[in-house]
Amino acid sequence: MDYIAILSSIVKYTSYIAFLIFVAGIIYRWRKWSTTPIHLRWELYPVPHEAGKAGYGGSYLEEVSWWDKERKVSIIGELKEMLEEMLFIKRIYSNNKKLWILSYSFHLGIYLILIWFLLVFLGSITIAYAHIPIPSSNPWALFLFYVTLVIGGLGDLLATAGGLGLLIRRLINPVLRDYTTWPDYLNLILVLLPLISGLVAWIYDPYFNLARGFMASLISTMATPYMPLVIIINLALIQILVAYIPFSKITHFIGKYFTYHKVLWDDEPNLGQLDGEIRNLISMRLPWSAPHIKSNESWESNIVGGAK
Amino acid sequence: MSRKDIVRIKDISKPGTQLIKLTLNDLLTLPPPYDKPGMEPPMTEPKPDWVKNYVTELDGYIAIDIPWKPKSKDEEEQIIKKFLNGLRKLTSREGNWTFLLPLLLSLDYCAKCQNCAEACPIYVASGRKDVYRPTYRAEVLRRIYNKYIARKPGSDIELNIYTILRLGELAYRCTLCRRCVQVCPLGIDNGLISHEIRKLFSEELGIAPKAIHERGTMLQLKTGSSTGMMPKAFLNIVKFMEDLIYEKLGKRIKIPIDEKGADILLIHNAGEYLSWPENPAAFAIIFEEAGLSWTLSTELYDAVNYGVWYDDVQLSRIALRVAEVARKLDVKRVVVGECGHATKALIVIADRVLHGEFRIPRESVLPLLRDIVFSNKLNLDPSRNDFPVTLHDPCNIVRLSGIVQPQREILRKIAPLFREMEPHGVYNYCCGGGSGFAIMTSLNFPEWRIKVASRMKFKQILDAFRDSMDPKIPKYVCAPCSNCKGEIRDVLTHYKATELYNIHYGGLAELVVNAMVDLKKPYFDFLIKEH
Repeated sequence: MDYIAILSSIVKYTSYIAFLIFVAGIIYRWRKWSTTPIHLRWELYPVPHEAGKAGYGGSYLEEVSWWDKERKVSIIGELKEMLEEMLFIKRIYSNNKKLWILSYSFHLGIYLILIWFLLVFLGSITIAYAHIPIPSSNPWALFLFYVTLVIGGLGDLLATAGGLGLLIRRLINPVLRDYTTWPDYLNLILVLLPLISGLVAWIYDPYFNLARGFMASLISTMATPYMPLVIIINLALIQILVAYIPFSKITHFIGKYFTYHKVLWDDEPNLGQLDGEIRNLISMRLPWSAPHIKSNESWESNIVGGAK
Repeated sequence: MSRKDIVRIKDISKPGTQLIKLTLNDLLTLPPPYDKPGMEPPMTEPKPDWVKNYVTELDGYIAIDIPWKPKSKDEEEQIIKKFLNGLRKLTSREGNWTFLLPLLLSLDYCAKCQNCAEACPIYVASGRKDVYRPTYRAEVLRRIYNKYIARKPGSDIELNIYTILRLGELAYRCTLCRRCVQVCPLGIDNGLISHEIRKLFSEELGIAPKAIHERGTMLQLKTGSSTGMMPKAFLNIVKFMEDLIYEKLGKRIKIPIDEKGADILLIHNAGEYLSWPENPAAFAIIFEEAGLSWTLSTELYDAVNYGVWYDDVQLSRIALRVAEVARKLDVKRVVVGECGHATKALIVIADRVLHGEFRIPRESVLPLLRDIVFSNKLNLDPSRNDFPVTLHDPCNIVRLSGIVQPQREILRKIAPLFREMEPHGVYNYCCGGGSGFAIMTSLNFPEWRIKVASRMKFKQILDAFRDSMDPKIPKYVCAPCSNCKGEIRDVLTHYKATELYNIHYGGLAELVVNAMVDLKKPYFDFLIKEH
C-alpha cells in the first residue's frame, strides 16, 4: 500500500470519530445550559412573541389585571425575529455596516457550506444506493451536480473572505486586538484552515466528484476514492474543526438560543406553576458571607419574614 | 487611534493613580444654548485626602462611599481572597441560582465585537473613554473567572488589589439600562455583568454605596422606609396632601389608610411623599374621582427595593415583605405608583421569588391610569396643558417591563403639545440616575452622574424643546418615575435650565390632574407664577 492509501483510510475512520465527538460535545453543551435552574426574570423588550405588541416593544403588563387575562404568545413573531437574526444578522446590520459585511460574508459562507455538505450527502446516497452516477443525464443527478458546484464554491469563497477580513480587523484595530485572547484567534484560525485548504483542494476536485465519492465511502461499502494529498489534508483539518467546535465559542449558535429564548425573551409569569421549583431553589444553602447575610443557612430562612 | 492611546484590559491592574481623567472638552457637546463655553460648571479634582479611604484610582470619582481601601498588605490579601471566594459563589448554583444562566452565558459567548459600545450613553457621552465600554468590566471579570475559577487558557490578567478596587468602582459606572443588550447579536448582557459584580461585592465583602445598602435596604428592612420616615410622619404627610388637594380642588378628600379588604393597595416610592407630594396627591384625586376601592398602608408606604440594583438577598427580603403586608391587609392587588425600579423589582424580577401565599397579584399604575383617563370619569380639558411636554421613558418601566403605550396614550389625550424624544420607547436613553445613581449624593459622585451619565438625556431634553427654548414658554419633562425625577431635578438645577429656560419636570398623574376642569387653579405652581 502506498502512503496515500494509508492516509485515506485513516482519514476515513477519523471522520466517524470527529463526528461522534461533535455530537456528544453538542449534547453535553445543550444539557449544561438546559439544566441550569430557572433564574429571576430578566427579560428585555421588545420581546417578539408578545402578540400585537412586539412591534413597539410592549408586554402583557400593559393590561390592567393582566393575570386575569389570556396571555397571547405569538410563536410566529418569535420565529420571524429568530430567522431575521440568523439569516441576516440584523443586529449588526443596523448598528455597524462595516462589521456586518465581513461577519455576514463569513456566516453566509458557512451556511452555504453546511448546505453543500447536505448536497454532497444527498449526492453520495444517490450514487451508493440509487446507483445513479453524478454527473449523468439523470435530471436529479444534473441538479445535484450543478447546485453542489455553485453552493460549494460560493460558500467557501465568501467564508474565506469574511473570515480573513474578521481576522485582519482584529489584528489592526488596537481595541479589538486588546480584547482578543489567543483562544479567540485559535477559533478563527481553526475555521480558516479548512476553508483555505478547501479552496486549494477545489483545484484538484473541481466538480466535487471526489467529495461525493469520499462521502459515499463513509455511508456505504463503496471503496474510498483515490485522493490527492491536498484533499486528505483538507479532510483532516475539517475533522479537527468539527471535533473542536463543542469546546469553543463557536457553539454560540447554542448560546444564542439560550440568551434569547431562555433569558431575554423569557417573560413567563409565575401563576403557580413555578412554585415548586422556587421552593426547591430557596431550600438550598446560601453560601455568601457578608455581615447582613445569615451565612450557610437556607435562602428561605434568609429571605422570608424580612430576615430580622 | 494609535495603540498607546487606548486603555487596555491589563491596565486595570496597573499600580498607581487615576486610570483616566475626564475634562469638559472630552465630553459630548450639548445642543444650543449649552454649546457655548461657560454654560456648564467645570469639572473638579478629587480632594487629596479622599485617596486614603476611597478609590480614586479609576477616574477620580467615588461611588462607593464607605472607607474600604485596605491599609496593609494583609488587608489587601484578605480582600483578594474574599473576592475570589465571592466569584466562586457567584458562578455556583447555590450562591447564584437567581442569575446563573444569564451570567454564565454572558461570560462564555461574548465575541468582543464592540457593537454595544455606541449604544451606551455613558461611553458616548464621556467622549468614548475605553474604561466605560460595556465590554470593559465584563472582559476583566471574564478573564479573572477564566484564569482563577474555570482555569481556561489564554486569560491575560493579574488579580491584584488595583484590579479589585477599580472593578468595584467600575460596577457603578453603568446604570444597568441594558441598552447595550438590545444591539448584541449574541444576546450578551454587559449590564447584567455590572449587576453581578455589585452582588459579589455586597453579598461577600459587604461593600456597597451607603445610600443603597446601609441607608437603603438595611434601613428599609429596619424601619419600613429607606427615607427613615416613621408611620407617624407618613400620616402627617397624608394630612398635608389632603390640605393640598383642598387648596387645589376646593373640596376635601379623605385619603383611605389601612383599609382592609380594599381592591387596591397603592404603593409609592417614599421619596414622592417627601419631595413631590403633589404626585401621590394627584393619584388620590384621580382614584377618588374614578370611584376606586383603594388604600395606602402605614406598614408599607415605601415601594422602593434597592436590592434590585446590587443584592439578590435584599431584593428577595423586601419583595416578600411587600407580599406579607398585602396579604395582611387582604387587598386584591398591589399597584405600584410612578417608580421604575419598584415596578420592575416587584412585578417582573421578584416574580420568581414570590411563591405560594406570597404570590399576590401586582401591576403598574400606568395601565390603570390610562383606563381611568379613557373611561371619561374625569372631566378633562386638554387645553389646560397648552405647553410643550415631552416624555422620559424610565428604563425599568419601558425597556425592562414592556409598559410602553399607556403613558403615551394618556399624553396624546391630555397634552396637545406633546412631543417625543429621540430615540424613545424601548430604545430610550436612561436618565443617568438609574441603578441607584439618583440617590447617591456623596463626595464627587453627583458631578460624574450629572455630567456624564445624564448628558445624553439632557441633550435629548434640549432637542425635544428646540422649537420653544424661549424662557417665556414653560416646558414640562414628564418622567413617570421617582428616581428619574430626582435625576432630572439635579440635571436641571446643575445647568440652571429651569431658571434660564423655564424647563420643569414632574410625573404623569400631576399632568392628568392639571387638565381637570373642576380645578380652581392650575395644579402646577410654575403655571401660577406664569399668569
